[in-house]
Amino acid sequence: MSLAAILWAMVAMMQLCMTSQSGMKKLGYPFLSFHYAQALLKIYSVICLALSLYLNCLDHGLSVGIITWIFLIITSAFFLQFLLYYHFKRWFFFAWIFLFFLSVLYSLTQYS
Amino acid sequence: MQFRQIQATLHSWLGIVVLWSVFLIFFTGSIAYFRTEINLWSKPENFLYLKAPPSSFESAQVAYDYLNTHAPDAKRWRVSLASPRMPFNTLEWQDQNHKYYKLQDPNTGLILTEGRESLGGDFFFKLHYSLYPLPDVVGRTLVVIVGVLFLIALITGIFTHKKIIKDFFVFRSFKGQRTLLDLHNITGVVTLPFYLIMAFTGIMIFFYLLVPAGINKHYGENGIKKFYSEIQYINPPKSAANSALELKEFSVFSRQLPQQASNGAALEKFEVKNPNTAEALITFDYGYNQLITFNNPQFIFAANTGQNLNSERNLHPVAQISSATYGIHLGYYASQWMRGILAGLGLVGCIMLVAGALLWQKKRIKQQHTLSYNMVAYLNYFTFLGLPFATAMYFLANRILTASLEQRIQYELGIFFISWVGILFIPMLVKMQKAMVVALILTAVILWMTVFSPLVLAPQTFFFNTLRHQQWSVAGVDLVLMLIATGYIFACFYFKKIKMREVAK
Repeated sequence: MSLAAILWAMVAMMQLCMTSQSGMKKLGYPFLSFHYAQALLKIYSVICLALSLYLNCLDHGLSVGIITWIFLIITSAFFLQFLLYYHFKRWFFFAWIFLFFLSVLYSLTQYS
Repeated sequence: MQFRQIQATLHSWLGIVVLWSVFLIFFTGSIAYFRTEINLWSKPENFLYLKAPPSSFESAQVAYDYLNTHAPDAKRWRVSLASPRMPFNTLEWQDQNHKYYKLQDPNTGLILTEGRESLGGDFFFKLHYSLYPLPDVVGRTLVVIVGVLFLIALITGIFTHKKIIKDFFVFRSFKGQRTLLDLHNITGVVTLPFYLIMAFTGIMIFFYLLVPAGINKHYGENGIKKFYSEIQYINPPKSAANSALELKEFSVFSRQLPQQASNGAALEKFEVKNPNTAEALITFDYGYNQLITFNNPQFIFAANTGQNLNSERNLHPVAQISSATYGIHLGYYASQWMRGILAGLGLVGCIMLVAGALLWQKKRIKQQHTLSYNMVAYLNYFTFLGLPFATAMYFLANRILTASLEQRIQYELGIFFISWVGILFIPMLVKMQKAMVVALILTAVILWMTVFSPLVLAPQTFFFNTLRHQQWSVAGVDLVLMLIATGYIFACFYFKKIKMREVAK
């Protein structure tokens, strides 16, 4: 199971949560009301998820990569995001930024 | 009735019919991911011999020499080689009358005979797929029927959920029925592919019990073995006729084997069919790294000549799908971390089932004095709290029953089933809510007792010692038991908090 894949999936899940009805209401980030901000963030989430799948397949091969991505990466990312969303709501934005940079840094050092 | 209403009715009634059995299957299946570790943990007499294993080739040499000396006329040998997860060789062989199963120290070749008799983690594996100790065919058939009903309940659940995308991130805590529904949804939606695939592959594995007509027509009655042989190989390997009877030295084979297979896996197993005969065949199996099918790298030799035999694996798409159903369900591809998460997903499934059952009860609270409602309440208690309690008792029995006890396995199983049924006395004596707290506390206490009992009975096998000697496989089991016990205590407090909020309202 690739750590980079989990990190990218978590970033994607957090973005999807921010743009969801529940996230918009509870988190209420003002930057999401800009033109196209929500749409862009959703598209960017799909890119992050695709990157996560690619990195996982790179580590485990195609068949195990896809299966573990569906079974393990997505679910782990969702429940970790869930923990941040319900218990550390104040830190959610900072956690998102931190995880994004960590994902970039980790992917660059691990796969370059 | 509208389409969605029909689905909702089907979901709730099929769900309540199978959920207790599904809970048992999920719970035991989750534990079974660590059956190797539990098997090791259940024989504390062997902890003294726990050392880092040598290379797989050295382990194989030791096992091969032992079996060639002590079981030269057996029908078959099967050896699982020592690994960091299971640092002993597992030797199985079969002669005309008996089957033998022994653990061997791969460093010295010593056969470990002191270990206590116990089913260990294998019990949960057997309970998972055949409801052991029910007769095998009966148990498997019941499991596969439950699997089909569960699959229907899952699919109808998707249609029942009105806002599956909209409510993806929604959880409203401390709101009674709403909270239960959110918990049921949140634990059910994101993990749905896992449940769907596991239910489907589980059914596929036992398809011949569900629809036996096709197999019977093509392969005759009980033709399943023939079917699997055909689905594995196009040309099953056959040894060339040769006058030599004795097995070749192990080095003859090891010279022809790679240290690592093409998928990066090490040698894991070998099997010898008809050793010391003209038809002797030896098969070397490498690990399942990067593979969801059972087509792991394999080398087959004529064991009396050392000739490498080419076997042709069946790579037909149907054969691949059949192989992948096993691979995905059993999770042989998974590393230790992955197995941990897979087991976690099984337990998340258990939470989904508990939330579903409580929701069913909550919706029918007005019928709380009827027999059916009380029966559901008791069955919930029996399954959701009784099964973990019985499991804790089974672990404690493993530690406190003396090692030399005759028919020890029967006693362990007896304790498991008696304590499971026995827990029903608690809600008969006190109110259900109090009974729930009592069951949670009892389970936690028994788990703590299991971990700390070696302090009195066999201090060298105590958790601190195994941790100090970095025997992670066994120390990990104790650590998880302590973690679960702590979780149960927290669950008690959480339960109390929910009750206090309800009273405050």
